[in-house]
Amino acid sequence: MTTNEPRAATKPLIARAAAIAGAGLIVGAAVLELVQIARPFGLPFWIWVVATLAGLTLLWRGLNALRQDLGARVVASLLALGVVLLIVVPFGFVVVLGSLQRRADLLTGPHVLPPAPTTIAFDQLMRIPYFEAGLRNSLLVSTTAAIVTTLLGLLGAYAIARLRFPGRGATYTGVMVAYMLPGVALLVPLVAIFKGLGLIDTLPGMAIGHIALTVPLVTWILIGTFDGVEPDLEHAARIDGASRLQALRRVVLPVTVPSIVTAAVFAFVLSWNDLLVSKVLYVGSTPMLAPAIVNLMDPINRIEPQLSMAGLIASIPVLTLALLMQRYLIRGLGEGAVK
Amino acid sequence: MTAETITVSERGNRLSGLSIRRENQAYAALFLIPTAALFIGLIGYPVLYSLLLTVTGRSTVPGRLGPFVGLDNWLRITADPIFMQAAGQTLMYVIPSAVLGVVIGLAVALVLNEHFPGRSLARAALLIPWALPPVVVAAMFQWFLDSRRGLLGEWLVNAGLVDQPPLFLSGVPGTLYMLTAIHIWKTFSLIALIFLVALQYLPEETINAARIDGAARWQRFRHVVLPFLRPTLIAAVIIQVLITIQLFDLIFALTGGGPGRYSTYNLYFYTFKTTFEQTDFGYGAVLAYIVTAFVVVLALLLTRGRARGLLS
Repeated sequence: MTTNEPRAATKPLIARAAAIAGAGLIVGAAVLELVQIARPFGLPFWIWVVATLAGLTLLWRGLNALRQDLGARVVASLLALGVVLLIVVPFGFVVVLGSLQRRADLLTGPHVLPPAPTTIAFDQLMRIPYFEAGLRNSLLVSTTAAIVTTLLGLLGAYAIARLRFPGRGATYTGVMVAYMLPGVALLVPLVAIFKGLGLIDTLPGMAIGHIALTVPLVTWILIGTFDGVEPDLEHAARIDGASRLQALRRVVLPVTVPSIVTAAVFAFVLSWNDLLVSKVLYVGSTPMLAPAIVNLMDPINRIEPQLSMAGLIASIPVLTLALLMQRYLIRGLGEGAVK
Repeated sequence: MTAETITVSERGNRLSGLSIRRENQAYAALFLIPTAALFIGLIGYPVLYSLLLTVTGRSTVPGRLGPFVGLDNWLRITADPIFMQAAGQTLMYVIPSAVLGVVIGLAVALVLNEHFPGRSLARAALLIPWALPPVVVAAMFQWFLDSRRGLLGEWLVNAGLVDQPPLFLSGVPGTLYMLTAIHIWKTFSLIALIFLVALQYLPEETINAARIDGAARWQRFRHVVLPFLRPTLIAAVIIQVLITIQLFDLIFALTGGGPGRYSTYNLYFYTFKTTFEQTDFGYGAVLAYIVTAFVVVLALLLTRGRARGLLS
C-alpha cells in the first residue's frame, strides 16, 4: 500500500476509523479476557485470540496509512508490552506478591494478590539456620570471589594482552580452554583434590572453588578489553617518563574502568547464582544461598511464601547490579554467554 | 614495531636499566605469577588429575587414587543404557532450546529494535531472566505450575483452555519439555539482547535504499536484515547449544532427574550424579571428558569464528 497517493480526504478518515476500531478491539478483548480469568463468565478463549489479531491488523493498517511506520511502531510497542508481561508476570505475582502471603492463604487457593499482606515469611526464613548462614556465606564468598578474581584477572589479562614473553601463546590458549571448561569437568578432579586437603565444606574451600569458577571468565573478558585499548596511549605515557606500572594505573585503567567493573559484576553474578560448586562443596556446615533454596523446595514440606521470600532475597543483589549496569552488561553479554 | 622508537627515547625510565624485552618479561612474570598459579593449581592440575581418575577404580581412602583399571571406565560407556538415554535426552533439551530460543530471541529483538516510547524500559526487563539465579527461576515455576496451588493452572482453567489444572511437572516426557520451556524462558532474553546489539550496526542507508526500491517489510527483513544478521544467528545458535548442554540447575532443583528414574537426565546431570552422589570418580571423569569435548569444540567454533570476523 503506497501512502503518498493524493486521493480524496476520505482515506485518512477511513484509516483513522480503522485504527480506532483496532485499538478498541484490542483493549476491549483484553479487559474481557482479564475479567474472564479472574471471574469466569463463559467467554471462549478463541474470541480473545481472534479479536486481538483482528485488532492488531486494523491498527497496523490504519496507522501505517496515516503516517509511514506509525502502525509498525504502535504494534511493536504492544508486542513489547506482551514480552515484558511474559517476564514480569511470573516474577511479580509468584516471587514478589507470593512472598507476602501467609501459610494459611495456601489453603484458600491460588491468590493473585495476597489477601492479608505480611512479611512474616521473612522472619520465619531468618530463623532457619541453614538459610541465614547461606545468605551470609553467599554475600561473603561471592564478594570475595568477585574482588580477588578481578584483581588477579586484571594483571594476568594485561600481561597476556600487552607484554611479549615466551609461552604467551600457550598461556592464551590455556585461558581460553579454562574459560570453556564446563563446571562439572572442573569439579570432578577439584573435589578429589579438596578431599585430600580437607577443604570440603569449609569457607576457604568454598571461596577457592568460586574463584576457580570465575577467574577464567574474567581473565577472558579482560584480555579482550586490553586488546581493544590503543597501545599508542600507553607508549606516549611511557615516553613521558611513566613506568610500566604507572602507565597501567594512570592511562590504561582509567579508560577501561567500565569493562573492569563489568567483569567484576559478571564474576559476582556467576558466583552468586552458582548451584553446582556450592552444592558439591557443601556437606553440612557451609551452606550457600542456592543450595539452601533447593533445600526449601522439598516437594512435601515446602512452604511457598517462604520460598518466594527466599527467591526475592536472592534476586535483589543480582537484579540491582544488572539494572544499574545494564548499558555495560549488554555489550559484554556475548562474551560472558558461554557460562 | 613501536617498541623500537621507545627504546631510543625513554632510556632511564625502565626497571633498573634492563632492555625493553627483559623488562617486559620481568613485568610479565610479575603480573602472571598470581594468575598462573591460580590457573595451574585450580584448573591445569585438576584437569590432568582427572585424566588419572579415568584410569583408576573406586578409591577407598578419601583423597587417594583408587587401583589402576586401565581403560575399563572408558569401555563402560558402550554398555551403559543410562548413558545412551542421557545422551538422547541431552538432544531433546538442546534442539528445541536452540530452535525456539533463537527464533523467539530474534523476534523479540526485531520488535524492540523499533522506535517507540518505553523501549529502554522493555530492554531493561530483558536483563531480568538472565540475572535471576536459576534456583529462583526453578522455585518460581514450581509454585506457578503447581496443579493445586499454582496460578497458571487456575488461569488456564478460567480461560476455558483446560478442564482442570494440568500436572505440568510429572509426566514422561512432558516434564522434560516443561523444563525445556522454563529454560527457554530463562535464556531467550539473552539471545534477544545479543541480536539487539548486532542490530545497532545495521546500516540505516541500506534499509532506506531497500525501502525506496519499494521492498515491503517482510522483503526488507528477508533480503537485508537476515543476511546482515547471519553471523550473529550462527553465534546465537552455538551459544544457546553451549548453555543448554550445561543445563543443570533446573533439573537438579525441579525434578532431581525424575519422574521415573532418569526421565529428565542429561549428560551433564548424569556426570554430576555419577561423580558426586555415587562417588564413582573414575567413570564420572570419563563422562566429564565427553561433555567437555562437545563444549570445547563448540566454544572453539565460536571464538575462532569471532576472531576471524565470521561470527559476531
